[in-house]
Order: sequence, then C-alpha cells, then structure tokens
Amino acid sequence: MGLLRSSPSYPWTNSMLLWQRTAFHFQPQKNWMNDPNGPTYYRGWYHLFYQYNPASAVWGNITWGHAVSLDLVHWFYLPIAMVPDHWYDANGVWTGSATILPDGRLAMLYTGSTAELVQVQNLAFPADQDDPLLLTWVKSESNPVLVPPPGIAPKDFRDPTTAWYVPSESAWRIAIGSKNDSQRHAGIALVYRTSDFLSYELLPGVLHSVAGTGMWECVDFYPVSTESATGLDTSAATGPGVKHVLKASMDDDRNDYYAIGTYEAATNAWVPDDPEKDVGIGLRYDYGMFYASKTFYDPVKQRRVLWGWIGETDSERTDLRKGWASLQTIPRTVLFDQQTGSNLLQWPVDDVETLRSGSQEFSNISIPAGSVVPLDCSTSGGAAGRGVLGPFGLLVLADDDLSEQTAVYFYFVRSTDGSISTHFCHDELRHACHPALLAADIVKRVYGSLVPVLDGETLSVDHSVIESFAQGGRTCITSRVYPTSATYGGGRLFLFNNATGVDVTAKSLKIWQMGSAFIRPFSEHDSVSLH
Amino acid sequence: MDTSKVLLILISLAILLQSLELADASVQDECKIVAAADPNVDYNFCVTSLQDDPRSGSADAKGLAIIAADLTVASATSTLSKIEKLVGDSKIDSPTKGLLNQCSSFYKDAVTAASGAVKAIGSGSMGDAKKQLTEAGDKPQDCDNLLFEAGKNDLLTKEDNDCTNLASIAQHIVAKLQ
Repeated sequence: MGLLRSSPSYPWTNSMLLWQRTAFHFQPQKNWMNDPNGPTYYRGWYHLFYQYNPASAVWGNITWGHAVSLDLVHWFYLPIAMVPDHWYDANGVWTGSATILPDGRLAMLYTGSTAELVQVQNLAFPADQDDPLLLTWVKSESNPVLVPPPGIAPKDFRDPTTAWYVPSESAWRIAIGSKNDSQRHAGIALVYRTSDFLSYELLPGVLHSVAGTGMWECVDFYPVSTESATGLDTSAATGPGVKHVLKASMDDDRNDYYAIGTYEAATNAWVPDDPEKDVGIGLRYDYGMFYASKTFYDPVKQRRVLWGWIGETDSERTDLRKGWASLQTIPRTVLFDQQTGSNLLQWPVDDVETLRSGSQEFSNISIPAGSVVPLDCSTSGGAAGRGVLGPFGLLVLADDDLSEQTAVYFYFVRSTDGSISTHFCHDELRHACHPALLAADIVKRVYGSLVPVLDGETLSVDHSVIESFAQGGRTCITSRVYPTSATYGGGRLFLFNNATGVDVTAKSLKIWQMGSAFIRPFSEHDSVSLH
Repeated sequence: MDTSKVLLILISLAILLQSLELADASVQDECKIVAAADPNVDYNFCVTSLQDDPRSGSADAKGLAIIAADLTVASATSTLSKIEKLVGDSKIDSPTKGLLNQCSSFYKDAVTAASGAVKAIGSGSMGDAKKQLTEAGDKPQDCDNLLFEAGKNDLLTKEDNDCTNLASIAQHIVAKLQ
C-alpha cells in the first residue's frame, strides 16, 4: 500500500462510492471495462462484447466480456466469450468487429497482442451458429490471419472494422488503423480485401491519411443516407444519396473524431467533404469523456447504433477501492444531419424511454437576468462566470445549498461583426466540493463546443454519468461526476441564468424519472419468460 | 567633385539598398508565417528554397507564391525522372516497381496541379490556386503511404516531403492573398 502515497485521496465513504453505480448504463458487476467490441444483432438478440479485466479494476488480462439484450437497454451478463489462451492473443484479446455474412453466419475479427507483443488480426466464430446467445466461440486454426505488413510497426496495427462487401469484386474489405511516422506523424487507414476472411490482400495505398494526427485506433467506416432518416447496412451500395463516415480514435489526444465524405470502391479512396474538418482535426462525436466508439447496423429497426466507452475521471486508487471502472454510453442512433449537411446527429435509442416512470412538465418558466463575457468554455471559468448573454442552463446533481452542482449550460458570444454563436458546455468544476477534497484526486474540466443554433436538447442523468445532447444531437457531451452530498435523496435540479443582460424563458421543460434497467446475469428463467 | 552629384548618387544607392532589404525581408516574413502554420515546414528550408530563385529578391507576396508553386512543379518533375531511373534499376524488385509506377502517376498529377496553380495565381484566382496546391501537396504523400506500407518508402520519402512542403509554402502564401 506504499505505492500511492504521493497525493492523498479524498476520504470517500462506501455509501458515496456505491451511489456512483448507474441504473441504466451498461457496466459489468465489477472490475475494469474499456472498448465496446463486436456489437451486433443476431437471431433476436443484441450482443455487446467489451474489453474486460476479470481480475482487477484497472486495465490488464484483457478478455472479451459478453452481454445480450432484446432492446439495447435491459442487459443480461453472459460468461466471458474469449480469453487470451493462444500465443497469438496471449497478451490480450483486444478490440474487434463483427461481420454478418449474407447467409447469416457471423465472422468476428479481432486484434490479438501476441506473446511477443506484436499486434495481429485473428478470426473467431460461434461454436454453434444456431445458439442465439452465442455463448461459446472458436478461434480459427488459421490464426493469425493477418500480421503487420512490411512497413507497419508491430504495435501500430489494431482494431479491424466490420467488413463491407464490394459486389464488383465478389469480395469483402476491412480497414485497420495505423500510422506513418516516417516524417509527418500521419494517421492512416489500411484496407485489406478478402473473400473468405482467412486470406487477405493489402490494397495498395491507404483509404485515407491525415498528417499530424498520429496513430488511428478503433477505425470505423460506414455509409449514411443523405436523403432519409434511416440507418444503412455497412455494405449498402454507394451512390447519389449515400455518403461515408470515416472515424478514428486518436491515440495522441484520446478523443474520437469523424468526418463525412465520399467513397469510391474502385480506387479505394475516401475523400472528405471538408478537408479543413478532416479526421482527427475536425468534428468529434462527443466533447466529453468518450472513446473507442464503434457502430453497428440494427436490421430490425434499420438504424445505425453507436457505442462509446466512458472512462472514469477519478483516481485509479479510488477505482480499486470501489472495485470497478468504466461505463458504456446509452447506445445512440446516428443519422446524417440533412439540415446542415455537414455533421451527424446522435440521440439515445428510443428504447430507453421504456424506463421512464413519473414525469413533470413545466412551461414558460421565466429566469430573470443575474454580467464579463467569456470567450470559450475553457477560459470562461465555467458556469459561475457571468456574461450579457449567458451562461444559462440546468444544474443537476446539486445539493440544497448549491455547494455541489454540475452545470449543463449554454451561452452566446456576440462577435465583433454582430453575429452570435452559441456554446454548449458541461461544467464539472464544482461537482464535488466538500472542503476536504483535494484537486489531484479528480480530473475536472470544462468541456465545450461551438454549436450553431439552439433547439431540442436532452439530458440523461444516471448517478455518476451525465450524457447531454444539444440541438437534436448535433453536439454531445458526456461527463462523469462524483458528488459527496448531492447523492441519494440529496440531489436537486435547478435552472439558472447567470446572464447579466438577458432574461431567459424556458419555454418547455419535461423531467422524467428513470427506473433501473436491472442489468443482471442471464438465467434460464429469463430465456423462458422473455420469449 | 560636385558634392550635390555625389550626394544624389549616395542617396539613390541608399534607397536601392533599402528596397532590396525590404524585398528580401518578405521571404523571411512569409517563411516565418508558413513555418508557424505548418510544423512540417522547416523555416530554413523555406528561406533557402525561395532565395534560390533569383526573382525572390524583388518579388512581392504574389510573386513569392508563384515562385513557390514553380518550385513545386520543378520538385515534382525532378522526382518523376528519379522514379523513372528507379524503375529501370535492376536492383529494384518487381512489386516495388509496380508501386513506383503508381507513384509516377501521382507525381504527374502533382505536376499538372502545381502548374495549374501557377496560372491561377497569375490570374488572381486564389481559391482555385489553393485547391490545386492542396492536390499537389497530397499526391506525394499518397506515394509515401503507398511505399510505406511495403516498407520501401526510404526510396522517395525525402522527395515526397520536400514536394509537399513546397506546395504547403505556396498554399500559405496564397491564403494570405485571398
């Protein structure tokens, strides 16, 4: 116990730590989780796999945890799907993706960290294709099916995508992120062609590269419809009403970036619509704690669904003490924003509405003005600052005397040419304000983003996590919060207006109480009662 | 000696020297800006490259942009002939030659784009020039990534990056003129 003596920790009580567990965000019963893996729909069940350490609340001994759901909300834990039991994944069964073949079979490609710490790609498939729960998995005799190509470093080759089919070649393609560090520290996506998932051919050139962005982890590549509000299968044909999203997790700054562009299979080229907002330098899915995300296509509701890993912002010591770390986001639908034509929209899957119990509705609440103009979230000092045009918003997980609070807020900035831009922020600076709390123990940030117009927001507050979606899902922010007194019955919700020059009216506000999703181990009883 | 004549000559000389300095300073000013905007472009590389061209001494910003675009054309053209030599080299294996042929096609595109940029700058279409210079800068990197995957990019990586950097210099000078 002499290891962590350098910075004293906050004296969390068991009650405070227990309160942090969420009611409807996926998390295992205990221990460490990170990237979502191989999400898919198979024979009636949604499957989620995830990077999981069965032995501790910190990263290590990585296996594939497994859970199933009928509705993306109520999850049942299943036994671990894959463990590091071969030389080609001895140092970890890392991230991968599922591909459903036209005949309904499932191929799972994943990265193995070998006994020599080389990153290779492996194929696994269900031991019993007729088992809808996909309990047991078999690793191919041909593993590893892919090793790093000659120029690629052995530790820069991971996270294979779901495959997409190219009819003109009668073959599939997958993308794998890497980097070209020879001169420009460029993040790149390699593409391989395969017809049987066993042997692969590296297509010359890269799908895309962006100088300066470094290693691309968890690459995702999928089509979106520009004309209708539905998702598209990963293999949907290219054409006039279709664009492709290229996404990667930037290892350098631990954020997920995406860009929308046009894909041409014949030349294996993807070109961004706006090179100034290219992958790694432009838009992010989420401006808070959100990484290693991955989408899949849900053929039942014809939607593209996004999973993202939400890490902890407390200390490792506290994670070990509470015995668990990390959450997954509520799954989000992803759509092309037909209004702006230049970004995606995300929204929590509507299945989560089944958890609503009571509700209260408010309309036309007037919030008179309470002055200093912050220029952006990071310099504004958070929601406590005052400007003519804001900030204003909600205080969640606040205690009675507002000594603890987390603000989810907007403010406007009027620039010299008279135009107004809107900012949407989370302010964690005062979420936990007990006098004994020492700053080193928790990372506190003011996350923010520029947001074009104001309309249609939703917030999900679930114990120690807040996910918020502004303007119908154009800007999303996920934050972790660890209150010490705004817990159990002590949490309140407020509207605030710190602007000095404007009154704000909340035209309509609806609050739903959310019930628990009762995420629990799967039992035979569930199999019977749910079907 | 007629002192007024001497004075006149001295004064003219001073003025001439002064304006030379100003023109030369603009190479340094432009390169400071480019190096700050693009961390891949080394300030000294920028200054040396531009000053190599005799026109740089009396060029204004638009003139410097044209010089930079011309240098891009020259760089791409010279790399094209290096690629030709490599393809004819018996020590290079067949798959690598295939990749080099692709690089050749990338560089031909780069020459076309950079030449187009020179014309566009001359006629004042800075938006068009910027697009062409972006393409001229991307193509050498396409070649670099192609060879990199095969573990062979040491063959051309210096040329690839010099060409991209020259296109970037031109692009940043053009951006100021927009």
